[in-house]
Amino acid sequence: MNLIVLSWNYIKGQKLNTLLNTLLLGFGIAIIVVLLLVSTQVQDKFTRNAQGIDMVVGAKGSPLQIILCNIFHIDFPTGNIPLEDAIWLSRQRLIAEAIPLALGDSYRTIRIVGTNHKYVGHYGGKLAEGKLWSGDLQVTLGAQAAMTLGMGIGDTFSGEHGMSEGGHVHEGHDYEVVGILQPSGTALDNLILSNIESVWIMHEEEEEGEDHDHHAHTDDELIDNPFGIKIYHDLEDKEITSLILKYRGPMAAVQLPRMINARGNLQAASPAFEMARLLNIVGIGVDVVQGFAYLIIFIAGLSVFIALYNSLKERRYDLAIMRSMGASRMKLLVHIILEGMIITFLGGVTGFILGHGVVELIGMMTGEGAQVSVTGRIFLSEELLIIVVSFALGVVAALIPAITAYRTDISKVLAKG
Amino acid sequence: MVRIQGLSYQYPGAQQVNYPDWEVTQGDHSLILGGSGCGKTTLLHLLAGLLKSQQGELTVAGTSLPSLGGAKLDAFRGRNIGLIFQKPHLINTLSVIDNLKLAQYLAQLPQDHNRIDHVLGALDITEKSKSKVFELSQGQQQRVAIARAVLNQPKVVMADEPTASLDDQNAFNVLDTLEEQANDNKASLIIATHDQRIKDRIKTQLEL
Repeated sequence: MNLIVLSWNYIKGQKLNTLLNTLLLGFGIAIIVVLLLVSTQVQDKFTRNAQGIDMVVGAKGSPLQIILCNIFHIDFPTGNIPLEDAIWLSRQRLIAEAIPLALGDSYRTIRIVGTNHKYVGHYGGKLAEGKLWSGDLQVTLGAQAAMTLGMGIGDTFSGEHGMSEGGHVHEGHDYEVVGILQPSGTALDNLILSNIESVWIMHEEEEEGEDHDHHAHTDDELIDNPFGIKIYHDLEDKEITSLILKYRGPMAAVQLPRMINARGNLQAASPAFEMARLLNIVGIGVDVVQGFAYLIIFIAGLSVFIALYNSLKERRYDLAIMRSMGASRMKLLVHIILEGMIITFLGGVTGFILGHGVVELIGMMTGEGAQVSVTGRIFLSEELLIIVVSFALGVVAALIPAITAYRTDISKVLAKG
Repeated sequence: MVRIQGLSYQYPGAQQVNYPDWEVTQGDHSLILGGSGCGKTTLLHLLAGLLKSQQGELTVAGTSLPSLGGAKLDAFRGRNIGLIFQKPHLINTLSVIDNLKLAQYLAQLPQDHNRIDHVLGALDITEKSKSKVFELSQGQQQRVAIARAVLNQPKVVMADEPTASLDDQNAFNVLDTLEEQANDNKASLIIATHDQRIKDRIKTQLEL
């Protein structure tokens, strides 16, 4: 027998009250846990994907859309930019690295991205098997993409126009899988990567139809460009979707955006700025939900307080008898506070399990293939705070009842009965 | 064992009650007699340290109670005084055996199962040890209350109107048990009562 066992026995004697308080607090804490887990994982994913990217240049339109489309691969392109402009930009001395992206096609909702090997290098992608694409219509799959599609080296498929399922199928030109990447925790995982020429081939065919002149090119017709793309004759009708830029120095951040935005159809977008803006917008919703959760937690605390306070009326004799058996005032104070702490601890544990369960369920429902997937099987150091907070809530809720117990006039209570 | 001298007590807004000087020797049993409202319970509470005396001397088991305060007084009470009330006042959420363990724990004594078994056996409630309090009859509950009072082998067992609500048969049963248990544990028994049935049983008496 000790105070914890004693308090626990009183809690067991109040099953319905305990259930109500545990659930109430559990729900409040579960909401906080869900918000914490999801926002941490989403932000982590965003940060990793935007890492080292100072600017994305796309066609005129929403800068946020440019970022969402070209870094996180969740929105649609704003349009295309002339390759000539991209070459011009990549030759500016303020730019350390420029990676071209050509989007527009997908296969079973997984995006096909035309780019060069620098894109893989930027995210630190490593090959699991096979090789990176080297010729037209060769693709290398991200780890997750390979798993979702169930494809391996040597498999072929036809791309579909657009980013969603049911797009027009580009028949006649089959892609061939030549390599698969290791998981990297970045956007690479869920992409199909090819060279830019492959994306052009798909669309030239569409636009120019049967009339396209398939004459043989010779190497001396090649146009020099910093992206390593094979371009014959002229640049005029060549377009890409965007250009991912790394600055050479801090001056670039000052000078480049103005320079880019002044040039024709180009639009500069800063990942850091746009993400801050997005989180700001989403943040209002998160704040509302969070406020609601704190309200529930507050009500739970109040409910624990009321339950304890009411139970003291029935327990006046118990408390007085305990004093008559040698318990000090302090012991009764601790006894009541422990009771509050045990109830809120149960609530905390319930919320913890519930929160992780819900996040895991969300993760399972959105599917592994989603660009931003979440799991309930990670634990954050911030969650320790939840344990501390739930204990503290128990102490606060039990404080007034405990002081009442401390002050019990035992002689008066015992004389009555 | 118990000695009072020049003791008086006054509730706020009430008349002061003066108690006659009185002494009980170790192992002796005695009654505190008097009608309702004459201060029997108050005296018992003063002797048990449940009330703080305002004036006069008060010694229990060789210790001057006014010199003790707070947690020390509580600890002294837990080890040296066993209290019994008109109703059993057991802790309802606990089993019989846990009620007794609680008495040892709160008196800061080691939790001794042999001692608990012995007392349960002496009061013939061994087979109820695992039962919840509310499953017991009134008489069984009263026996558990007595077991709890004598468990820590106190120097004094104090009972406040232990027989008031009982019929003759049960009143004498309780009285027998109280005397027997006090003797077995070498404790003095002090009973505050207005119950005329008890008067003839215990000769040492303090009339208020």
